[in-house]
Amino acid sequence: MAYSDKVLDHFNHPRNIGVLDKNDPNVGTGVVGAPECGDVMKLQIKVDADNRIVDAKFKTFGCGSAIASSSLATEWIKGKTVDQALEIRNTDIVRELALPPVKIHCSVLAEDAIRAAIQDIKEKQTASAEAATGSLSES
Amino acid sequence: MNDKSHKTLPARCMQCSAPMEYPICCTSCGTLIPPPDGLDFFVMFNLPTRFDIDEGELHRKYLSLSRNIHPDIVDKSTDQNRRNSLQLSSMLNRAYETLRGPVSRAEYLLVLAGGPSPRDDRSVPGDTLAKIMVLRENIEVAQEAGDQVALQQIRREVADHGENTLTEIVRLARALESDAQRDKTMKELRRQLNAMQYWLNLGEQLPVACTVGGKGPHD
Repeated sequence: MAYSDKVLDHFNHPRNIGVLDKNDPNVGTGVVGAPECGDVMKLQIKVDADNRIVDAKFKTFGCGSAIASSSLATEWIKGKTVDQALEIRNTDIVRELALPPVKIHCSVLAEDAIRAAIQDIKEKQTASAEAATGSLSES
Repeated sequence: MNDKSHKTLPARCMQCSAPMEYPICCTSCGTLIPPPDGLDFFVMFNLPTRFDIDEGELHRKYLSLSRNIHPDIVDKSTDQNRRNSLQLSSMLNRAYETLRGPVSRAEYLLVLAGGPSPRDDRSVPGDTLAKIMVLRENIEVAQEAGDQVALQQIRREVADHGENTLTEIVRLARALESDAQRDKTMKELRRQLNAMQYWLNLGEQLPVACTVGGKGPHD
């Protein structure tokens, strides 16, 4: 199967490969996978006080399209607020990377990874808000 | 049960009236019967539709059916017979491959039960994905360092996870036979089968170690 130039570009020069500290209260981590092919994708975001994504990293074990989809996803979400990032649809990734129908699930994976990372950071924020209220009421 | 599956065998051959052992051919006169759409693979082998089957019996029946329908063996004087033979042979092979392994057999039973496909439900139990991610990272590190001991340990760990998952799959596939909490069983079986796919993939992709004594990845 022929990969598009954009997929090859992201595959050969992936953006934002790496790891953020998952224990950092401002870091959200999403790990998702596709059982059909065994691909796994980890996407992490770091947010500032305004919930703007200031950094994003990914690590993907999978095919070229999965790597390109997650690389593109991190590129797109950087600088966006988490709410803006939630608006990204897998179809946007399909269009940008010209993914063939058999590789659409790779783009779904990237969208799921964004959502999972955002959900993680939201859960962390809720938990720390509750802890703050808890400690306030205790004192 | 899938309403397209055919659970009944024709009692007698239309050509020679001998009792039919299998729904796709007469073992007495060699008449081939075009398979109905969605023929249950278990029915094809005249086996009960359930997880626990005699694998030796399956193999014997596969050989016996092959002898009757193989394109090199059947009477090819008519186009119809040639077509039937080709179609039945490919179907028979697919059915045999599906039923012979416990994982694909459980997957097939889940399909027959109308359970979710991996497309419908991609979830896996608990922290499976996190475990896979860590193992993949460890493999990368061990490979870069050429650390065969670490790779061997990872291989064992992956095999253990696979075995534990298989144990769950077998338990749940058997539980499918009972109507109790069927939806819950199907959902849980889907999850375990999804997890199994990751373990199998990981096992296949693990580099073969250069170990002494000729131990391969399947040991």
